[in-house]
Amino acid sequence: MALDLRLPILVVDDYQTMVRILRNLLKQLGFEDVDDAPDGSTALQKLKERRYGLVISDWNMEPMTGYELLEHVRTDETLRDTPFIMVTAESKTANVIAAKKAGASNYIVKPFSALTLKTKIESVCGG
Amino acid sequence: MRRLGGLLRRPPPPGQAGPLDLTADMRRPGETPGPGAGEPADLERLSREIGIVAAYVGRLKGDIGALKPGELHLDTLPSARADLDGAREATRVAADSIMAAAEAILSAAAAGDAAGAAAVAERKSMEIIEACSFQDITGQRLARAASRLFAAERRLQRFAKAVRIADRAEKFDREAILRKARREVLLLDGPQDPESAIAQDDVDRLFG
Repeated sequence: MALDLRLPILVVDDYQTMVRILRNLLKQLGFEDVDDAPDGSTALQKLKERRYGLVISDWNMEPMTGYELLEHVRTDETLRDTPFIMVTAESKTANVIAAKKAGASNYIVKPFSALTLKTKIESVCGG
Repeated sequence: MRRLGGLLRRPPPPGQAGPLDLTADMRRPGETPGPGAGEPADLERLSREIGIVAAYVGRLKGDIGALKPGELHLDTLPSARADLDGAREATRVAADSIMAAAEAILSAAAAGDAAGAAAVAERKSMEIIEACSFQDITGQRLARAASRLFAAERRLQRFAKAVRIADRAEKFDREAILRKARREVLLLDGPQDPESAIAQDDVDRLFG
């Protein structure tokens, strides 16, 4: 199944440079419908206002982390099926295992390449 | 006099080495601790005790002087912090410049004017090369900050060794405890050293 490039994507990161990097990479991959949020709380609010086809989230943010956002998404009846990719500098094995147990669709360790991002999006969005 | 003797004989608080236990050094061979015998002997002992305390205080002042707390507080640590802040800001500015140049190149390429796109690419590539000079500046500032912090660490180590200070148990600090608990529960450790960080291939195997 080909990737649906109209998929609305929510990028969650407290570093504007990283948001800009992800936006540019997603644009190069063909995705035009990209929103962003600076932390988990804002992202959760946006997720309740609009249906997104993919969440790409950092882990370490205040006041709500990406891990907490993931837990909220997976326990919310209306959001639980949303593909969720963690893109983070948290690179301990315990973090990866916790993310998988919490229901992350995939996990990317920063710094990452455009190819890694593309591969993971394809794997979780059915490309 | 007995009060001073008692003070000096008082056992050190838990967790602290025994610089307060000075009376053992003051006693003559065969002398046992206890109330003084007569007035002249009391005065002599008091004089010895004061002399030992004065010598200890003098040594302590010397050790504190070698620590250079004023310089640490007013220069070494603020300068290290300024270098770290400067390096962070230089990195941010460089990332912005490089990103803006890359975006301009991509936009020009998407516009379909090959000659125009080539001109933009050439101009913006020069801007990217110029922006990469941040590495020299940040490298120097980070090296200077590291050197200052290392000097402060060495001085603190020497001081702690000289006065035989052991770490005291942390006072109850609700905020610090909550911050630590949050970091532990939510697995917030930040970036790892390359040798301890998990590789993407290993992540993929765990998710496989």
